[in-house]
Amino acid sequence: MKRFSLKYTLLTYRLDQLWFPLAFWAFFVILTLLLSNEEQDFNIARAYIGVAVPLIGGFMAAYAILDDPAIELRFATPIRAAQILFERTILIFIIQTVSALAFIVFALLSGVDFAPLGNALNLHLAWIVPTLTMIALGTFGAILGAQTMIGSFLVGLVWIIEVIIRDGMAVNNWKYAYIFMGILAPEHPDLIGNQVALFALSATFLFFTWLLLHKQERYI
Amino acid sequence: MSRFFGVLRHEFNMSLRRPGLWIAFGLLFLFYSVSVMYPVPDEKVTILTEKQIWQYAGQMAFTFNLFLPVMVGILSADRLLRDFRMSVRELQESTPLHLVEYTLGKYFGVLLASLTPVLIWLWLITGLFIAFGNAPIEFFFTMTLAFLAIMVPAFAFVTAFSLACPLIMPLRVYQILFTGYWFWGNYISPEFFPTLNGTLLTVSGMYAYQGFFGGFINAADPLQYSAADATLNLIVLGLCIAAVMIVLNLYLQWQSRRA
Repeated sequence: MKRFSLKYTLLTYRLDQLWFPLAFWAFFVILTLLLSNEEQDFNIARAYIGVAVPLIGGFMAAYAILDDPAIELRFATPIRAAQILFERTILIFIIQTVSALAFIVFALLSGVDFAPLGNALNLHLAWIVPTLTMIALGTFGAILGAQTMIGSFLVGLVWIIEVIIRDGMAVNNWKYAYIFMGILAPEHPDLIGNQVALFALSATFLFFTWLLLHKQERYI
Repeated sequence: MSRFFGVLRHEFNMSLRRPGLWIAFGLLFLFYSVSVMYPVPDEKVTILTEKQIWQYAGQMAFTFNLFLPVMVGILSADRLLRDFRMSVRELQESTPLHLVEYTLGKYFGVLLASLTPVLIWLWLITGLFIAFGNAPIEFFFTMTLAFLAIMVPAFAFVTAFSLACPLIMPLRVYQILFTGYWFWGNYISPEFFPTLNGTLLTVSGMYAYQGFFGGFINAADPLQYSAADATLNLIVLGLCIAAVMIVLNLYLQWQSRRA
């Protein structure tokens, strides 16, 4: 049985998936150093880990599977759909994790107080949940439409809608689909329900992506 | 000119036949139709007066500008790039097609393909609005003017950048930057964070909305922008589009010489 091919993944890895998150990370670091204001530093830190990191993850995920120059060859080999899905999305998640954790460390060293977001678990859930959701949405959109553009569009649209009408998202039943609740409304009474719902939604997206990936002729 | 119209017609047909475009428009049209046509339960049914139709038309166009240009920017980002990826550009270079005809034909083809479904849908919901007795027949005229003054400049602006920028950076990088820019450059308050919002480079349509259409109905705050500001804003955006298209032509010329 074919095992996880790290060598292939790295060889076919697009470098912009690495340098762009790093450049974005550096930009936010410079911004924090330039502004050097306690309240703004907190806002920049949460904007980066909870809003920018999921956006980057989502877009990168939209290109993760289909933007492979050797996709026909990949499909011609007996690699399972779950393996393709796993090895293409996990690296994106790892890079976003490293970026977010590095920024949290930098912010803590700069004196940013993350207490408004709750304890350490809440702080990390505040960026992990939206990042996972956007990665799942980007992957699912691209596979559903058999085009990277559809995944990108869904990620961009959901992100901008939820950021612009964030106050409206926190009320009525939309609150369960509010991706940025953990980072922008951490005191919300339904935060746990929201995170469970988003996690379930991500799992559903990934499940359907896995199912759709079996129909390989759609993507060639 | 026939070659320019040939490229335009071909690009227009190609863009309109993309399933992605219709999925994207379908989702957004559904979202907007529901939010425009169905008032909040405790809200009274709006019956617009002659005076209010200007403000309401502006308000609708401004609201549609929140999300529609994001979609247009993301979807049109690969239109020029795909010609290079599929080596179509090399074939085109062997024909007597001038570069200016090619880029302008592409640009207007993509732009018209983005605007056409929006205009049809806009006329449809305006027609429903009038048919239900919520607005006089003149609303059709003001809505069309709002489309031309608020939505067309935004679409034209994002399309120009979306054609040009992916030639010098990876497509996904452009799409991330563009989505972030749309929020940062148009909707973040300048008091909260340094932004392009509030300058003449604002693309959201706020200048035209306030300057030409009178801003929000029953707004408490006085208007920030006059008709002169709105005109200036449109001129600046037009100059930016022209500058992008000129740079794009120069870049493609340079690439042809290098090849």
